[in-house]
Amino acid sequence: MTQRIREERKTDVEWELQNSIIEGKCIQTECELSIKPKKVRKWRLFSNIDLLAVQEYLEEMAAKGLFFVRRCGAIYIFERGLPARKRYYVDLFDKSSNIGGDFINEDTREYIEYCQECGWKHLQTSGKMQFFIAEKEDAPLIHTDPKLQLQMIRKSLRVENLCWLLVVFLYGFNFWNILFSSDWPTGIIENGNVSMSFVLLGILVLFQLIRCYRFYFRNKKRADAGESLQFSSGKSVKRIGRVMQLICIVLVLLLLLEIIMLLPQIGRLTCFGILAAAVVAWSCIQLLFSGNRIKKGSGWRVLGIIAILVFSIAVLTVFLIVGFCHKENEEIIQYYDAEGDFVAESISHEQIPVTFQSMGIELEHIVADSTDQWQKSVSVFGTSADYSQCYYGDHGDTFHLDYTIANCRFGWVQNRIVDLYLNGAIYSNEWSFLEATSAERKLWDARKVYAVTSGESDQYVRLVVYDQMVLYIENDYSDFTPEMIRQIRENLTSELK
Amino acid sequence: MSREKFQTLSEPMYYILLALLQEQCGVDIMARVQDISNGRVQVGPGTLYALIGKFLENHLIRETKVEGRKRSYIITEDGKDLLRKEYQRLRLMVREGDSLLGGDPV
Repeated sequence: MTQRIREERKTDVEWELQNSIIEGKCIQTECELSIKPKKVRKWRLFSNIDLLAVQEYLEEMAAKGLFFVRRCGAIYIFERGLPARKRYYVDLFDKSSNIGGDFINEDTREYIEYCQECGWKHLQTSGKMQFFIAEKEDAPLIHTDPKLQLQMIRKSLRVENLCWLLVVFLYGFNFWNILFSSDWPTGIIENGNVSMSFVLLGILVLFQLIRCYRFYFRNKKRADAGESLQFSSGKSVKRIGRVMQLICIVLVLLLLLEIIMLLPQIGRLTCFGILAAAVVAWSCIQLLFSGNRIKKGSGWRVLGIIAILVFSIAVLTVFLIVGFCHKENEEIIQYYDAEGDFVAESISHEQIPVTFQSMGIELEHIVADSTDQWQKSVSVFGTSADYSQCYYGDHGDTFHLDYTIANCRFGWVQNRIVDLYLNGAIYSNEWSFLEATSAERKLWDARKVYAVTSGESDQYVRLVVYDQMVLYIENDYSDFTPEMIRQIRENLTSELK
Repeated sequence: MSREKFQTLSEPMYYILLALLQEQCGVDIMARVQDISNGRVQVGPGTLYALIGKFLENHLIRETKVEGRKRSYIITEDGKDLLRKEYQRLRLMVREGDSLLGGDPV
C-alpha cells in the first residue's frame, strides 16, 4: 500500500470520526454504551481479493464505535465502544487451511507471531484470511515486497479458484443435461428452479473468477515493476457486494422454493434427515480440524461440537425409526391369481384426477387398483404432473393408465417437451407417432394431436398439444375418444392450478 | 538447488541474507535489516516469513535452534556464495555507472 493511499484512508477515517461526533450518530458516553446491545452483527459480502476494502470497512466501523471481533462467513461481528481511529490489516496466508474455519496450524501460528512481534495484534484466522489490528501506531506494513505478496495471494486463491472452476463445470454440465440432454420430456419443468439456480450460481462464480484473474494479471505487471499492489477501493467493492448479496438472496430463495416443491415428493422426514446428515457432516469436519482448540482446552467449543453431534445423531435415529415405521396411505391386499397362486400386493389410495371409471370405461373383474406414481412439479418454466395407475384383474392380468400434463410458460419449453415425446430415445425405438388430420384436431379441440401408429398393438397413446399445454396419455385397455380427452383435460387443468 | 530463482536478489532478499551472516532469530532479522540499511529498508513480517521459507527450501539458510516457538537461522555456504555473487554484481554495476556518471549524483 502506498503512502498516498494510507494518507487518503487516514483522512477518510478522520472525516468519519468527526462526522459521527457532529451528527451524534455514534455512542459518545459510557452510559449510552451500557444501554445499547454490546455486540453488533453486519452482513457484508467481500471477495477474498478485496483485502483493502475489508480493511477500510473495519476502520470505518471503528470510527463509528464498532470494533471488529470476528467474522463468521459473510457476517462481521463487532463490539461497541467509543469511536476511535484504528489501523487494521487483512491478509491472505497461503499455508492456512481453507476448510478449517478459524483453526490455526503451526505455520500460521509462526507467521502470526512474526506479525505480533512487529506490533500487529492477531484478531482472527478465517480460512486463509488473517485479521490484524495495529497495537503500535508505527507498526510496519506486513508486506513490503509486492511480488511476494502477490505470490502469497495467488497461492491462497489457487485451490479455491480450482474448486470454483470445478463447481462451474459440474453445474454447467448438470444445467446442460437438464435443459438439453434429458430424455425425460417434463424434466425441464421438474428441474426448472434448480437450473435457474445453476445459472445464477454460475454467473456469481464466473464473475468472481474473472475479478480474481483480472486482479492477478493487472497486479503482476505492477509487482514486476516494483510498484505496490492495487486493490479495489471500498466504494466500488460496496456496489459489487450489493449486487452479489442480491444474487445470493435470489439463489437461496430459489433453492428454498425447490426444496418446498420437492417436499411432497421426498417427504418432510427425508428433508429433516438430509438436514441432520448435513449437520453431522459439518460437525465431523469441525472436529477433524479443531485439534489445536482441543489442546488449548477451549472446552466450551468442544462441548458445543459434541452437543451438535449428539443432537444430529439423535435426530437421524428418530428419522430412521419413524421412516421405517411410516407407511403412508399404503395397505397390503391378498388374493389368488388365475393360476391359483397366492399374491400379496401393496396398494395405496392416493386420489388421482383421472381414472378409467372417470373416463367412462368399465373394467371387469378388477380386484384392486394402486397408484404407483404421482408427481407434481412447479418451476419457473411451468407446471407438470405425472400419474400412473395400475389395475389388477382377478385372472392375474394388469391394466395401466399413465398420463402426464404439462403447462408451459414458454413456447420453447412446450416445443422441447413435444419433441422429446415424438423423438425421444425412450419412445422412438418402440413407436412412431402420426399427426391427426385437421378435422380430428377440431374434434379434439387441440392445436395438434398425435397417435401411435405402430409398435405394441395393445397400447393406446395420445399426445395432445394445446395452447401452452401438452397432454400425454396412454393405456393398455381401450382406445380414447374425443369426449374422453376433453374430460381428462378438464379434470387435469384444475389439478395444475 | 534451484539457483535460477535467485539469479538476482531483490532488496529484501539481499538484506535478509546479509543479516543472517550472524545467527539471528526470525524477529531480530527485521531489526537487523533496519540497522544495516540505516533505517532505509524495512522488511515486513509477512515478507520475512515468506522469504525465510524460500531460503530454507533452497538451502540458502539453515535453522540453528528452536527455543519454544522462536527459531534461529544462519546463512549456509550456498547462501554466502549467492550473496557474494550479488555483491560482485552490484559492485560491477556501481563501477560501470561510475565510469559514465563520474560518481556525481544525478
